[in-house]
Amino acid sequence: MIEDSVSLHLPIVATILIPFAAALLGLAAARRSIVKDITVIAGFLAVVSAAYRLVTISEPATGSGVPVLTVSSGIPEIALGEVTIPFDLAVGSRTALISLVVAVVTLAVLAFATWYLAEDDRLGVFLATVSLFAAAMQLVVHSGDLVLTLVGWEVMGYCSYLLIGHWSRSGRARRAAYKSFIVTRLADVGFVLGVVILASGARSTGYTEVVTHWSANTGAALTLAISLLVIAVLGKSAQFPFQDWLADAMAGPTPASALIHAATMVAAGTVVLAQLRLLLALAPAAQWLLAVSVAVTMILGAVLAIGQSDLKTLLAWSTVSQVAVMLAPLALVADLEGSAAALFHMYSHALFKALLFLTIGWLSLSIHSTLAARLQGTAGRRLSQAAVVIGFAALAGLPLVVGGWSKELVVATVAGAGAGARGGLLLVALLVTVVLTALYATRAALILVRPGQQKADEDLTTGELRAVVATRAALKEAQHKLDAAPFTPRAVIVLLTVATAFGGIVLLAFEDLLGVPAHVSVLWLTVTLVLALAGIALAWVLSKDGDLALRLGSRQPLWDQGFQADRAYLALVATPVLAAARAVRALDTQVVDAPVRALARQAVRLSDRAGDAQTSRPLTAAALVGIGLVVLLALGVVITLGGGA
Amino acid sequence: MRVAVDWFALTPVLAPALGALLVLVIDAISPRARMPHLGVALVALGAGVAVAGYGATRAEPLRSLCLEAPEGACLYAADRMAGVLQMCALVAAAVVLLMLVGDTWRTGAGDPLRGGPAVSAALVLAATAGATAVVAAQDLGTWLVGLELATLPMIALVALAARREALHGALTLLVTSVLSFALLALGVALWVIATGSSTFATSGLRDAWRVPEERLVLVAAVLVLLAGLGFKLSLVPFHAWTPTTYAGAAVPITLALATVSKIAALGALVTVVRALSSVVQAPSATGVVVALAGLALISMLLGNLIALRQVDPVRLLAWSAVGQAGWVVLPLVALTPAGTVAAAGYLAAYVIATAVAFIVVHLVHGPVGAGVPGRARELSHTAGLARNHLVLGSLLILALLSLAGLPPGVIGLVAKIAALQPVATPDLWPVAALAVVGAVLGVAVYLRWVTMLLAAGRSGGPLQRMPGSRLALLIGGVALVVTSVLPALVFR
Repeated sequence: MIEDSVSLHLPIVATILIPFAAALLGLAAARRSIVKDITVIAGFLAVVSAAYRLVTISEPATGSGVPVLTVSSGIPEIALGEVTIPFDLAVGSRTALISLVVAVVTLAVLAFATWYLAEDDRLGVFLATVSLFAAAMQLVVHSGDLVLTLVGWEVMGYCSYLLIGHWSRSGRARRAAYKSFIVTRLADVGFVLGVVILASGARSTGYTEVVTHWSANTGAALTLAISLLVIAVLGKSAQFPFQDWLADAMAGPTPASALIHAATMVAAGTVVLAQLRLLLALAPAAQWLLAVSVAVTMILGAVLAIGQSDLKTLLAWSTVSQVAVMLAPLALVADLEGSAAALFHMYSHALFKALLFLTIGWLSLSIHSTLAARLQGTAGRRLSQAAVVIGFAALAGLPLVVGGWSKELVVATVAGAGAGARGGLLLVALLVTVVLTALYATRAALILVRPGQQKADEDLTTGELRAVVATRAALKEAQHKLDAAPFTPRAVIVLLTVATAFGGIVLLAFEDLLGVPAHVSVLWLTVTLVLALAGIALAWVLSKDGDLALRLGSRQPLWDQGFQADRAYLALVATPVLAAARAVRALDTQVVDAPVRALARQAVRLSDRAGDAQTSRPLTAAALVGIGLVVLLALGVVITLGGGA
Repeated sequence: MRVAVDWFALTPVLAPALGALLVLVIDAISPRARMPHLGVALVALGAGVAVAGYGATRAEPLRSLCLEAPEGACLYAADRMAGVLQMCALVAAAVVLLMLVGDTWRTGAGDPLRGGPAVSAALVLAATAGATAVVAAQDLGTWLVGLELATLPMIALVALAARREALHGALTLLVTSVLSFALLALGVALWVIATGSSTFATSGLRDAWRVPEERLVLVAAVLVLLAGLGFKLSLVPFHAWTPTTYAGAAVPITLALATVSKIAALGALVTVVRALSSVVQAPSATGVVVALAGLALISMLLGNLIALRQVDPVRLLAWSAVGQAGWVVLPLVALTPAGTVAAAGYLAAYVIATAVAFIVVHLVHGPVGAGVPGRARELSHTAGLARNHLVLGSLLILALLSLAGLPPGVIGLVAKIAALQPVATPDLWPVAALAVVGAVLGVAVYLRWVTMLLAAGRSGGPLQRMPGSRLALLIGGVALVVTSVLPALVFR
């Protein structure tokens, strides 16, 4: 194992470099149709490479923990003064698993996007950006070095900006892109500072050295560093108070949302915290910060999801809530089991959220809208019905599908960690979230599957009648188009549906990959099932007269606006910052520059006066020479006499 | 008493002097000849440049006119620094002659000066011989004669433009220069009284410095010499002739005043300061230091201040010459050998840049015949030059930036740093601080013009055919670019 630590592990490097190369090639050929083949083939190769590694992982995983091999990335180690940057990669069964999930979701998104965005003139750029995004995520997953993690982390932030703003002709997309960039950048400051603190203490940016050093030097510095990292994770994962950018990000194309939500951006924080779990466990204050934020976020996200008028935004808020669920065990027990639960839920979430986003994209393509009112009853065919039902069942956490297993593991881990205020807070929040999640999942599934309410036509005015007729025609056309969808998107949906349905069982069968024995707790399985069923029943009852969100009435826009978080951002951050900037500018121009300007004015005035005074008569010149001589002589003689005396 | 004469070493002085004589002979034989004068003058100057350049590369000074032992002193000694200054003076003279005479070659333009090419060439060559002589002079006689030889032909050259302003300028120059000659003669006399020697040799000087009474006379001598040279260097308050004469003379003559005359004056001053610095220990020559520092700083500040608002480019360059004279004298304040080298280097950098600026102004403004009232020159006539005439505009910008001491005019920047270095000492730091203020003012002066050159403007008219000035610009431009790329050619 030690010998391996310096060698270059080709399949790992390939998993990172293949998407990266595809991004470069894709950008070079962005205007040609070959870009589709390049990126999709590269995505496939990345899946093969990741899968190969998962199969060839040989170490026994149970018992002593997750063995992690450190391998060279091929970049030579750099010593910058007192700090060494080893540029190592870390390999284990978990990274192999997560890497495979990322590769699969990326491939699904790429394949789906070639169909979904076929009419888009900037498809090539989109596909290249997706590839770059995937490369960055693979880098974060495999990183054994804080600097590499930081690189991947920042590249993801930039790629998400590009993907959200893909339709840059729309002002809404541009604003959403700026917002996501600025909000996550703001939080990223924490990441940079945290890395600096950790590296300056350990004199190295390698994970192994950092963990070794700080495990022996716990204290305020470690707490501060980890808290800063947690803040960065909260920003990237759209947790309270940074939650609002993710809903706006729905202005981007649906495949981009699938990628950002399922396997990359928002899930990256979970990966990083799972990698640094040993340090997180040593900083209870940082864990408290994380716990409070995720407890608030999971309920807030679920509540907001219930009332959304747009199903895509509903999925966005569900992501916010589910990522909070994912982070919950890390906030309580940052050990092997806690991180196993977090990563298992990330795995589940990646599969079912990719399925749900791509299905919504599929259903909405011909309607050109993701509004709940317009999508009513669009999932009429067998494949779409299966995808919707299985996907939302996973979201609701029903047993047997993938989300059920992982959610049960999260709840059991949190509950089993013992009492204490933090545990209690998280457990209550989780249980409330289970009910709310089942409620909105059922609502969304009912909207999509249940045919539109057939109102008696004679009750309608002529205008309404015309609208209804138009809607029905559009629906019919949409159904037609869905049936006409080619093999690729159908295959993607089928694949993800199957993965969502059986992924949990498969993973439980290979529980070694997570590093802990999976324990199915009958008690918590029952509790979550009962709570979820209660939520479903509630939704069923409330939806009897159509979409339950209609019951919110005139207050519904408040939900679409994310409870005015945007306004709060403007009032609490943007306005003060701009005011401070104006103050600094005023200080600069009116205080700092003022003496300089005054000096310049005086110089010009003096110049004008002196210019007027200087005359050109020969006698004046002679007189000046005489005066100069007298002064010079007097001065020199006096000084010399004084000095000599 | 026998004197060992090395004729080869004297070439930088003798070649222009003989050239002047030859020009007059040719003129007597063939009064209608024009270009032969230019050819003879250029050959003479070229020979001088070759020998001066050889002297500049040698470790040992080129000596001539050496007396027998026991005194053993040489009356002519051109070290490396003197060689560089002589080269500058000779090349500048060639540039002046190209502009004066060369511009009339096959263009039908009238002569810019009365008397035709023969008189112009002979006078310029004579003045150049004076300048190269004074730079290497080691005795008071040669020094004084060389200095006057460098000055008097200039007065004639200014007057020969035969315009009202030119005559006015010549008169002012004459009055001031007569006064200055009187001062120089007085200073030389005082020097001889104090040291008992008619050379700048150190032995007599050292004795004089030890005795308080003689020291007083010596200081007075230096101060009077300084006043006399201050006129030639355009130091405030001896500067009053500068704007009038610069603006009144034909531009090539102004260029000669700014280059050849300046080199003569600085060479003379350096000789005095070097002699003094070799003996001055305790008590230090505070009186001389204060006088030098005062002249340098007042010139620097006042020159740049007034240049700030000038509208005539030649007047602007004239006032900038006053300011730059302050910079030239600045390193001498330290009274060290390194200071004299820095002063000479600064002067070389200034000469190259200001020559390019004058040539461009001349090209843009066009030739003016003798006696013809000159068109008004305005800075605004060069507006947009960088867009309409790329080569002219960029060379002028490079020259102005070099005068301001900003990159890419690296030679000017290096010169300013070299000039500040000798005074950046614990005793002299107030001088350095005030010099920095002067540098900032200077930047404002030159950048004002640079912004005009870069802006949109109406300087788009076709240039007149001036082959001599174009060749002169080529020489000046190459010198400016090469020294900006390799400042080590001047500063070693």
